[in-house]
Amino acid sequence: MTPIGERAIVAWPLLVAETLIFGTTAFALLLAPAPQSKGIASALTPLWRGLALLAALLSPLALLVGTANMADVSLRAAISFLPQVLRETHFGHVWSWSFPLTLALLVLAWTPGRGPLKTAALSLVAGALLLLVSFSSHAIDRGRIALIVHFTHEVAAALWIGAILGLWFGAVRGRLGSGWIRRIAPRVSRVAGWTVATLILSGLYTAYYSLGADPYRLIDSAYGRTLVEKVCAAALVLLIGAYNRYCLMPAVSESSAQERLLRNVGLESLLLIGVLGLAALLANTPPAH
Amino acid sequence: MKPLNLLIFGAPLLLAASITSVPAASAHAFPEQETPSAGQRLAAPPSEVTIKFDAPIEQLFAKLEVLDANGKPETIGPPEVGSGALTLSVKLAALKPGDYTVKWGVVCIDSHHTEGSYLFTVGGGGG
Repeated sequence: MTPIGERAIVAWPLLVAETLIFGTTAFALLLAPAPQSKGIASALTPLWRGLALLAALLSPLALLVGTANMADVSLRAAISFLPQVLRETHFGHVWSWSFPLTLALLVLAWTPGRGPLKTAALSLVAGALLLLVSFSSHAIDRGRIALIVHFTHEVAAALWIGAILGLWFGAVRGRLGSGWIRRIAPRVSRVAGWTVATLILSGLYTAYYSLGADPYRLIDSAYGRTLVEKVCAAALVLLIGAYNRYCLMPAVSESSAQERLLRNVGLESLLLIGVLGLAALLANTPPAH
Repeated sequence: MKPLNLLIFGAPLLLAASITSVPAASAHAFPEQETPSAGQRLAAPPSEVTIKFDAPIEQLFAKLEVLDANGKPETIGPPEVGSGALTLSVKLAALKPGDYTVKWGVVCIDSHHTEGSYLFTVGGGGG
């Protein structure tokens, strides 16, 4: 496997963990109605715990793989470079901040309790981890505006996926009932609209500064091709979302429409996790040069 | 117009706008300017080689070697990162007329490794 592939394969589940925890905690706090907020937190807790554990296990591996790539050596040889990388590089400094936060996420997720305070704390820590992802991304080379745009892109993606996955978890795992779905689905739809609009604008900015004026770079470069794949996969999710909004939502009171809506929402969630994989690959691919 | 409608109708226009009239930028560091430059023929030997990158680089793992036609290193001391972490320089021994290969390898502050090489000639060249 290429160094880019190695880094992306470790970055993907980490990005999934941080994005989904931030997105679903935001969903539980902002979109789920108060009487059933504990119910949605209960339904999502196993997900948060699993993802926090995954992040805590993978974070040291991400440091090792990153060090091996930076030093251009094998994983075994990279071990001896770890102290220097932590002390002397920007990547090491960012990891020094993110690892304690990842451990805090793990402790919070596994602490008993379902209250909004715990959900808010998880959201805050996952949000801080996403911010640190921006600080070690391509955006760090391009200045403050690029960083803000990158973080905005991450937050919008997390809110979109979190809303969709939160709806699915609440309905399927939490069994919060038909009335809950009727109340929540229109909110998820509204959030999806705004977050996707934000994703497009912030994504266009990043594409603008990564591909340059030449449209052939979309095909000629690995970065361009990965971007096209990511946009196509996201567009597929959008099509499903548009079908949900315009065909299923008007009939959301009917149980058959709810069933189809939940099936589609599950599919959208899986596709978006795939899109995050392409995002991780893109984050480690040199922009067209 | 509702956000989703705006998105559906506006996305193709925005995508089209994104791929026109835009300068390429960095992320992963690549040389922007080399001194001596690639392929340059110099009358007098340079005292150092400097490469300016398009993104900030780390001192750790920065490599800059100048090799003669036989692969013998002609540098004095380790390479230095300077000028806002954008340049990499190394001092040279007194170069004789001939072809020289500059080999560089850097890590951008986004932690990604890039490397490359180029040639320059001192004197009449071909030696």
